[in-house]
Amino acid sequence: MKQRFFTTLALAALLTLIAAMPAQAVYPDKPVTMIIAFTAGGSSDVQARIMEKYWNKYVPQQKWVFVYKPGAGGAIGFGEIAMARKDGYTIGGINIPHLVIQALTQKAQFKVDDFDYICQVVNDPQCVVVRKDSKIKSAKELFDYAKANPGKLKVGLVGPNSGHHLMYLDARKKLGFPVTEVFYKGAADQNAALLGGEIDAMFGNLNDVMRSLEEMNVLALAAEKRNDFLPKVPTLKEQGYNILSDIRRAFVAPKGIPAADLAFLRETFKKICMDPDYLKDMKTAGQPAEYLDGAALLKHMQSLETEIRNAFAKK
Amino acid sequence: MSEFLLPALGHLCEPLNIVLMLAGLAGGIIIGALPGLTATMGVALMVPVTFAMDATSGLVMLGAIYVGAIYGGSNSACLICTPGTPSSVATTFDGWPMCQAGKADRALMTSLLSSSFGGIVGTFFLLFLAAPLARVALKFGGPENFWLCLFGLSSIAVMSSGNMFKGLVSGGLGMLVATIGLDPHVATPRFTFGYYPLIQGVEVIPAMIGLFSISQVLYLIGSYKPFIAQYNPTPGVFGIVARELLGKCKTVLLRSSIIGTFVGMLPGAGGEIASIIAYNESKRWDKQPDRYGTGITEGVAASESANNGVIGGALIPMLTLGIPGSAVAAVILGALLAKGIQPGFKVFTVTGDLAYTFILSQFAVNLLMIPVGLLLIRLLVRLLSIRLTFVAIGIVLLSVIGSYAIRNSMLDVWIAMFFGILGYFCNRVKLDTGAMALGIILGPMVEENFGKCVSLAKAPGSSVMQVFLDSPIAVALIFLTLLSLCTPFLMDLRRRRAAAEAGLPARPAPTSRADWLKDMLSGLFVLLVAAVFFTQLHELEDVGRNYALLLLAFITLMGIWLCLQGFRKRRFPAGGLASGDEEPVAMRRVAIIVAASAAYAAITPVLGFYPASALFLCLSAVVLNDTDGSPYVAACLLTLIMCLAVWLVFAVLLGVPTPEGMLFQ
Repeated sequence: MKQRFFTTLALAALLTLIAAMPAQAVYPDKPVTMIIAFTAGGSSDVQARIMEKYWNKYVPQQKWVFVYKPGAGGAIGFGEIAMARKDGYTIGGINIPHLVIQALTQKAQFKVDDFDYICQVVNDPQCVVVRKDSKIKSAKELFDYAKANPGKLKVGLVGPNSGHHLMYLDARKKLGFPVTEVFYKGAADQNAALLGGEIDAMFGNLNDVMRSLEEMNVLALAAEKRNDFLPKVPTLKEQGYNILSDIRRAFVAPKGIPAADLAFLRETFKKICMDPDYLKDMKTAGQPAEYLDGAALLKHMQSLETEIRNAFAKK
Repeated sequence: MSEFLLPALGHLCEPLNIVLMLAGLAGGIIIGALPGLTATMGVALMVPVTFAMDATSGLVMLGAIYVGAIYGGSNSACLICTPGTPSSVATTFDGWPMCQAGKADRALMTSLLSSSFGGIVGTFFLLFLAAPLARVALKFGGPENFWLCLFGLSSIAVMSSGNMFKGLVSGGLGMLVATIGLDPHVATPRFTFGYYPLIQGVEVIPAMIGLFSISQVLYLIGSYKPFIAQYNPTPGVFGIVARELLGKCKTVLLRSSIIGTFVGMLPGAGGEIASIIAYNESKRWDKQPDRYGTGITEGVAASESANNGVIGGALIPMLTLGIPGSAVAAVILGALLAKGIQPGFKVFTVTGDLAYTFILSQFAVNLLMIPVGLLLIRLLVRLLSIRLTFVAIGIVLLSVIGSYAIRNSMLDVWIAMFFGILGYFCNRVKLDTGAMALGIILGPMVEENFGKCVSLAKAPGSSVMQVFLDSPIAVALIFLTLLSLCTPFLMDLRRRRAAAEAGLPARPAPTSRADWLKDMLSGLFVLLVAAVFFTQLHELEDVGRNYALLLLAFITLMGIWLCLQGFRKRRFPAGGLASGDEEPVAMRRVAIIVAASAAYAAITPVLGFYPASALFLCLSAVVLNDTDGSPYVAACLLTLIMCLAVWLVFAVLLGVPTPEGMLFQ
C-alpha cells in the first residue's frame, strides 16, 4: 500500500516536471517579481514605478509584480534578491553604496558578487548645503572656516555607515575637515535640523535637498559634472577639491540567472533608459537619471568595495 | 489666499473629486479598522494609483484615506480592544470599557464626532497659520524631541496610577525590546541573538498586533462568554453624544485637538504620542481623574480628537518646508514630488490652486466622514452579535495577514504571535501592555535623540548639560515631565484628603489572594528578560551599549522591587484579603487557540496563505465550538465568508500580497 503511494507520488512529480518543460519557451513568459528593499511610496519605489510604465511599453505581455521587503536600511530586501530563485523571474532594485557597506560592515547575508548587474538608472550626487541665511557662501569658505575653527562647525549626515558618512570620511582624509558630526535617521530629519539651526551645514543628496530648496543654499556638488537640476551650482572638482560621492540606484538579479535572460533584461532596461519620455518623467519626479550598463556598474561596485574597506577600516 | 479659495471650492465640487473623497474615506476607515493595516500602509498602497490622476485629485484622495484610516482605528479599539492603528492605543482605555458596558454605539459615535472635530481644528491651523507654525516646529531639535519623548513616557505614571511600578517597568521592557535590530549609532546588529533576520528589529505594528489583538483573542476565548459584549442600543445616540461633546466635553475636545495639531507638526512625533499626551492631560486636569479608564466619553474624545488633529499639523511642515510631520505625510510628500510639485512656502502662491483645493478638501472630508462613518458604524456593531469564538478566530486571521503585510515578512507574524502570548501573560500578572507599546514606540526616538545630543555636545565650548538644558522649550518640557511624574502622588493625596473629609479612614485598597503571586511572577519575568538581554551586552559599544545598560539596570532594579513587593504582600496582606474578583478562565481553550495559531503560522509558508487559513478557520471553529448544535455548518460558513472577504479586501481591492506557499501560490 505504502509503496504504491510513493510510486504514484513519484509519477505525479515526473508528470509535473514534464508539464513544466515546454514552459521554457521565450523569456519572459510569466510575470516578473520586482523586489523593492524600501517601503511602498518611497523614492526607490517611485523610480521603479516609472521604469514599470516603460517596461509595459516594451514588454507588454508580462507585468511586474512589486514585492516590498523593507528593513535594516535595505539589507533585508537586498538579501532577498540575492537568495531568490535564479530563474530570471525575480529581480530587484538596489542602492549603492548601501549594499556594499552592508556587505562589508554589517554581517549582511550577501556579498557584492552575489548579484548579476542589469544596469544603473539613477546617480544622485551628494551636495554640500547650508541654510540660505548662512554667512558661508561657498564650499571654499566652508572648508576654510572648518579648518580655522576646529570642531565648531556642526555637520549633519544621514547614517552612520552610509554614503554621506563615506563622503565625510573622504573629506576628512583629503582636506582635514575637523567638524562635529551629527547623524540623522533620514533626509527629512536632516533637512529639518539644518533649517532649524541645530546644524550649520550638511551633506545631502540632490533628490532630498530639492524638497526644501527655498530655504537652503547648495554650495557645491560632489560630482564629475554639473547637474541639470541645479545648473548654477559648481562641482567640488571645479573648486579644486577632489571629492566625488553619490547614491546610485540600480537593478540586479541574483547571480547565475540564465545568460539569455540577463541579456534580455539588460537590453530592455537600456531601451527604457534611452526613451525620451522616460527621461522626461524622471526629471519631473526629481530623479537624476544616469544610465550605466551592467559591466561598467560591476566595475564601479568593485572599486567601491576597495574604497569602503579602506575608509571604514581606518575610522 | 482669497483669490484661490473660490476656484478651489469649484475644483472640490467636481464629481470626480467628490467620488474620490467618499471612496478614500470609506476605504481608509476599513483599512484603519483592520488591525495591522495602518494609515501609512493604506496611503502608500494608493500612491501608484495617483500616478494616473492629475496631481490635485490624487492628493485629495490620499488625504481622504489618511483621515479615514486614522478615524477607522478607533472602531476596532472600541469594539475589540485592539487599536487599528498605533494612533488609537489611548482610545482603548475608555472605548473598550464603554463597549463592555453595552454602550458600543456611544463609544463609536463619540470617536466619530471627536475625530471629525479634531480634523477640522487641525485643518483650520493648516489654512490660517501654516507659515508661522512651521517655524515653531523647526525649533524642535534633538534635545527638545528627547524631552518630548520622555514627557510622553512619563504619562505611563499617570496612565497606570495605583500600579505605577509595573507601568514603569513595562515601559522599560518595551524600550528594551525596541533596541533589537540595527544599532542606530554604529549601524551594527544588536540583540539579534545570533539570528540575522532580527536585524530588521521589532516593528511597532506586529508587536502591537500581538500585545493587543492576539492577547485579546486569548482573553476572549478563555472567557466563558457567548458574545464579546452586551449591546443595548441607545435611541437618538447621535444627538445625545453631540450634545455631550459640545457641552461638558468642549474643553477636552479643544485642548486635545490643539495638542494633536501641535504634536503633528513636529517631524518625528505623530498620532501615537499625541493621543496619549492628550488623554493624560485630560485626565490630569479633570476634577475626578479616577473616572478615566472606566468608560467615559471624555477619554475617547481626548484620544480621538488628538489623533485626527495630528493630520492638519503633520501637513504644515510637509507643504511649507518639504519636511513631513508624520510617516503618512512622508508618503504623501513622495506622491507630490513624483508629480514634480515642489513643497515650500511658495506652494501657496505658485501652486496655490492645488494647495488650497487640498486644504479645503480636508475640511470637506472631515464633514463627509460623519455620514460615511454613521453608515459604517451600523455595520460594525453587528460584530457584537456574532458568536465570540468566531470573532476571535477571525481576528487571528487578520492579525496574521496584517503583521505579514507590514514588511512582507513571516518573521513579523511570529513576532506578533510571540507578543500575543507575552501580552496575555502580562495581562494576567497585571503588567501594563499599553505602557509596553508606548515603550516600543518611543524607545527608538528617545535613543536616537539622545545620540544626537551626545554628538552635539562634542562641539568645543558645549557640554552635555548645556545641550540638554539650554533651550526654553527643553526646560518647559522637563517641567511638564516632572509634573506628570508627580501627578499620581498628587492624585493620591487628593483622594486621601477627600476620604478624610468624608470621615472615612484612609485605607489602602484590599489586595486579592493572588496578588502576591502576580507581583512575584512579574518580578521574576522581568529579571529573566534582563538576564537574557544581558548575555548579549558584550557585543555592543558606544552610546548603544550605555543606553542598553541603563535600561537593563532600571529593569533589574524594578524586577527586584516587584519580587520584594510580592514577599511583603504575602506576609503582610494589606487591607485584608479580598477574593473572588478573578474571572474564571478556560485554560484548555486558550491552549488550543495558541497551538492552532502557531500551527497556522507554521504551515502558511508551506501551504500558502489561503489553504492554510481555510484549514485553520475550519478546524479551530469545529474544535472550539461552544454551541449545542453541529459545528460543521457554521465552521464551513465562517471559513467561506472569511476567506472570501479577506481575498476581496486584500487581494482585489488593496493589492496587498499575502504569504506565498511552496505548494500553492
